[in-house]
Amino acid sequence: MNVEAGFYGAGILVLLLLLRVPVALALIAVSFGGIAWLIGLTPALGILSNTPYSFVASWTMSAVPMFLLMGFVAFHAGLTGGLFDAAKAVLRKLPGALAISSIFACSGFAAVCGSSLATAAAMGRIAIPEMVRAGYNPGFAAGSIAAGGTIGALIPPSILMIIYGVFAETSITQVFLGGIGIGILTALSYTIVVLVIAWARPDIVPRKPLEDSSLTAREALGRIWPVMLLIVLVFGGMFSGFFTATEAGAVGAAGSLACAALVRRLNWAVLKQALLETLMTSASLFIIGIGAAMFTRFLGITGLSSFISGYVNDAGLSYFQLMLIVVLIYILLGMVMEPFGALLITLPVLIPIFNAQGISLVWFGVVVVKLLEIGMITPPVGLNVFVIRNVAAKYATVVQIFGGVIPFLLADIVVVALVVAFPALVMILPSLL
Amino acid sequence: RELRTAPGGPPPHPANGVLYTNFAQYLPEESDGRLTAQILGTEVVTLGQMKDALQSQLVEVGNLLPLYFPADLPNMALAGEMALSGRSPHAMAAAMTEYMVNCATCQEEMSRFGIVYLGSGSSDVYTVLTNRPVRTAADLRGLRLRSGGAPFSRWAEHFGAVPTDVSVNDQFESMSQGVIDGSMASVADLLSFRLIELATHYSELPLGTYHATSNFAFSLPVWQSLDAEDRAAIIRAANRANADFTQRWGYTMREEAQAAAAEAGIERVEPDAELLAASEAFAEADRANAITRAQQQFGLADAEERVEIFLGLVDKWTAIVEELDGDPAAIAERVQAEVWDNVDPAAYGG
Amino acid sequence: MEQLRRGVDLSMSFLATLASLGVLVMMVHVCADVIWRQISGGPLPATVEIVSRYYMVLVAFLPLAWVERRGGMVRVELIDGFLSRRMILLSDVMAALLAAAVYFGLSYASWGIAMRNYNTGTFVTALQYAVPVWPTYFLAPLGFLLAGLVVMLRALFIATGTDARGDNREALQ
Ligand code: NA
Ligand code: NA
Repeated sequence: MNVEAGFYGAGILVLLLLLRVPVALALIAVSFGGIAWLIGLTPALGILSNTPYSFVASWTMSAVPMFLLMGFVAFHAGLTGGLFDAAKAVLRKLPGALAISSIFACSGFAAVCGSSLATAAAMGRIAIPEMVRAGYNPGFAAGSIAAGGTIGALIPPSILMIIYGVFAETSITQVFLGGIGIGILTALSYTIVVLVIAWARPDIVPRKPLEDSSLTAREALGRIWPVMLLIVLVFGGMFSGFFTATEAGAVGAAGSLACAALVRRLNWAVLKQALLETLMTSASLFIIGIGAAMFTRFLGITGLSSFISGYVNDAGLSYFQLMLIVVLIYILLGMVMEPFGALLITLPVLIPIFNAQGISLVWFGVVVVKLLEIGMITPPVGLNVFVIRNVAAKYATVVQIFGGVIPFLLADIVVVALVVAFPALVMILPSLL
Repeated sequence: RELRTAPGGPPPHPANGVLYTNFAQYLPEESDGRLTAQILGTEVVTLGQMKDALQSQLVEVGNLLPLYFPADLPNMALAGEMALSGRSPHAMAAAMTEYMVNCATCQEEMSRFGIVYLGSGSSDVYTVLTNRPVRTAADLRGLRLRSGGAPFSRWAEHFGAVPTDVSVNDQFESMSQGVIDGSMASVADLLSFRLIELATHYSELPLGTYHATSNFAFSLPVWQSLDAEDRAAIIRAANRANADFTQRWGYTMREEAQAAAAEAGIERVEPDAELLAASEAFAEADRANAITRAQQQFGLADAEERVEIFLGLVDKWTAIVEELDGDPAAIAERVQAEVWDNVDPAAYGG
Repeated sequence: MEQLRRGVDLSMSFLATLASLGVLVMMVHVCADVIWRQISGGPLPATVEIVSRYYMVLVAFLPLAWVERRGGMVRVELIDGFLSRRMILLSDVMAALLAAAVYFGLSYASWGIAMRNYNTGTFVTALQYAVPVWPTYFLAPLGFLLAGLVVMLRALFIATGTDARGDNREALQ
């Protein structure tokens, strides 16, 4: 066993990341160097040569570009544009109606988009200017969308959940079903946050209901039916057994194109933009995945992962102690790391622990994705906050947005605590189907 | 000296939990403590990565399934084509071992691949796990069944079922989604892959065995660096672990799964005599298909003679296993005596 | 220098177009498999193998150079706020050189594997069909080689001021 080498490797990795080396390349460099040093150059070259192909040539992983394409087509063809208007028409009587509507619009968007950043970017462009005009505190307005965006990776489809499913060898359909529960729970908790702040601090969130909407409920429905149709097609087909979760991505992408064509919004520019964004996102994701797979192999050889799992198992931790540690690990990692790296680095250590404890890996997947999404809005590296800052630069600074996110973070902690205390909140749907 | 070993399967799988765990225990016993084994998990090497891992010496001893590398290991793949003839797991494992050790071109094939062959194991006799009863040939028609290999696909097609190519990890999901109606698999898959939640019936129809394995593929350069005494110790440890593995995969796991199935209310279906006879007849007739395939796809001109030799060994070991009453320790001893003791460890593997 | 920059951008667009086609064909193939299953009860032969061994490999490795050209790689930007513009430029050049080394290493190593698979004529069996997969092994060394070259050029462009530092992270997950 070379557990020390594992610790050194992890330390050097952190150092490289701090020095702004791209995550994927840092992972690859450390794994290669580590294995070369421990065993020799030939095995290290072996890892370098076969990990990329074997990671990528995967049927399950093919869902990643497909779900990305589905979301990007739906967005660029304007299929999701009506979600915000529709939510406003329905929720306009509530205090803080705009913020609540944008959270629900995020949830709707989430059902066609697998990524949290894309959800935040898409909704931020529309909702933040309108909230600021209506008298919302700009930091809070931007923060609510940064947080609302995280729902994008909770409600299926979810790229993070697919990657989790692949690494944990768990049913992706089941994790998706669990995601519906935690997604709805999150949306509800964020709604409560808005209501409470509207009640306590009308200077931050105006209580006044929206003007009589120019949109009747019927008209609102008219605008969102294409996206509703798409959701019904993909989830109906997936959960009723016409196709698997992996195939659902391709069906969703084709359905997205078909819906766009149906409402005459499909053109060359839309297709091109959607394809390029799909490539950009999936290729940069795959290379991180390749790096993480190599790092996992390195840690496996050092015995660090089994050392830590063994240590935790022998420590005889109670369920709540174990979960407290897991939550803390992910919150700390989430502060500085992007979610895929954090997910892929931790799974090899945690999966054996949860297996040994007999805790459902479906449930754990849902919780991990929620924790990673919390990392998307925590300082100093909060990718959702950065992307919101890009699309709403004239309204709020990064610091103001982080400030606006705080109440939602508190709600997130409550949601995590609830799900840890009552796993059934997540497991009810997966156990039904 | 500590060897880096990789079962390629997760701990609950018998390749890890029995095969490699026991090997790691026997190795110091057989070598008076000179040799030990470190077991690397699937996070380091999966079955699909085993070839590259062995060739780059990331792993020094690994569980190699030729099904993953048919272009590299045509001789082993041909033996795998004989799946439908398998009725006694211990006999199949022993026959496979004797065949491989004494077949010159098989040994050349292994050397070219960069490994030394140290024995095979076998699954239990596969059957159909389904969401409806399979009693007659008519019940099979139109059934979508996961297939783990070409012989099983041919068998399914012969009876009008639709063989489907789903990876073993996807079979739960595919079956729960209705993409497949069942699986041609080991009864143990009811537990290993949670099919117990989905299947309602399993048949007693014997399909055949999965026995084309190279349980301990030993990195050739590492093997060459060892002296005859160490090699002999490794052979003995591997041979003992092989028998334990077949006992687990081929027998006790099956019994546990059958008990769990009974408890879960899954019905065990006796096929009618007509289907049994038709299935046996197809298994016999399929040998010709396997030979053609080996000649065309794997380029083995003398496939027919090889099949002859292999089937002769199957008969020989079926009788021995019966005589020894299926006792794994006795079978291991007999394989050691009949196969490995005739091998000169200093010369074996080059 | 400007001409070189434009030439690089043009060839990158070509890579992206090819990979985009891969994405579209993958979508059509999987949908066709789903539809065919409903009609005939059986799958299109070898869909899983073709999707994973052909389209996925194409979509993952071919656009790498283009992604690098667009500055799309994810990094941790914890200390960016503490660095001067000069320091960030310097660190960009250093990171680019390290990245190029990693890409060339990956390319070299995967070339060896590709040649081995070419020599054995590697195929996978899908039911009873043999699907040759050795050609796709060459996409990995090719993709890594191009990515390495682009990263080297980027370091050159940054150092000579031909390129502003343009990280395009908006499209990222
Ligand atoms: Na989503
Ligand atoms: Na963060």
